[in-house]
Amino acid sequence: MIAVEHERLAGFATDSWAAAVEAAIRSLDPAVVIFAGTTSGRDLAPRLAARFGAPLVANAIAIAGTAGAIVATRPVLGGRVQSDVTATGDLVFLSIGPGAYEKATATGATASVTSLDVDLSRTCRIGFAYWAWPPADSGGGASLANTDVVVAGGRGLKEAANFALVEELASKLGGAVAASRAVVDAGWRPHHEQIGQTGKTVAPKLYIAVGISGAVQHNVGMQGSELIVAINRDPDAPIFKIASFGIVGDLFEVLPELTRQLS
Amino acid sequence: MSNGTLIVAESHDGKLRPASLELVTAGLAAKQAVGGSLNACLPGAGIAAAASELADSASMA
Repeated sequence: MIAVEHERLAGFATDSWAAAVEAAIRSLDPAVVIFAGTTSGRDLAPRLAARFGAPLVANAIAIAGTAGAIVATRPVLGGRVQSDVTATGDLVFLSIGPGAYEKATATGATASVTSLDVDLSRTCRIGFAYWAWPPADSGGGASLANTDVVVAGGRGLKEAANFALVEELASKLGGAVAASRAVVDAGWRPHHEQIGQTGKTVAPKLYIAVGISGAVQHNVGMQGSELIVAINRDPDAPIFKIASFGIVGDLFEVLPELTRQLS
Repeated sequence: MSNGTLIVAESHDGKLRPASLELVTAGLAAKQAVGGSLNACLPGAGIAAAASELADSASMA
């Protein structure tokens, strides 16, 4: 593997990172280049694909095919349909969906690390302004993007003040608070906490859905989670179809008890 | 003739980002499809620890 170490690569910045990755691609001449489904990966992938005049399939959840004709599967129509996209050419770019693949574990083998020197003196340090904004995203609690535990609340909480129950459980588990679109639209929670098609996509180890019915637009934003626990009063709520564990009951009884048991 | 698969890994504050290990698995799937070797590129500053964690995660060229 190649390490590209440079002071201009400290923290993500589009221009310098794109130059570093471009140099790595030119040096290795790969047939396929794959980016993570992170904000930075999604920023770099189309940029590099354009530089090489090569096709890009974004948000892949499965990769097959042969050299020269890669077949990538990606969810469309909010995840209700999966589409196989064939990308042809000597060089193909892919980005993968968050949580689409299991994390690799140590194999005992160790790859050799070589360093690649890249001249980044003409790149600029302007990265994403929005990494630091809005500041509320990083204030308090764990950040949604990097946490192992997410506790999400929905309309079942009845009013904004009751989110305190969600916050207590999240803080007990060292996790982040998230919200469904319904409660963000109602102004109970800020938009940066919204999970789903018009919000964030997360894939934590544990996702606890509290008072969320589980509309497909919500589920596409969290169905990659390793373990999904749903708490809902309605036994027919669609969230139970994708939940690993379901608790049918009154969240105003279940949540405080859960938090108490964890104390 | 182009060869193999390249994954673009990421680190944050000197640590390998978890998504990079998912990339290794995706990279192995792509390697199976196109043949050749699996390689990774890790840009950053102060990345020695992240690089060795990534190097341990799979057999790469």
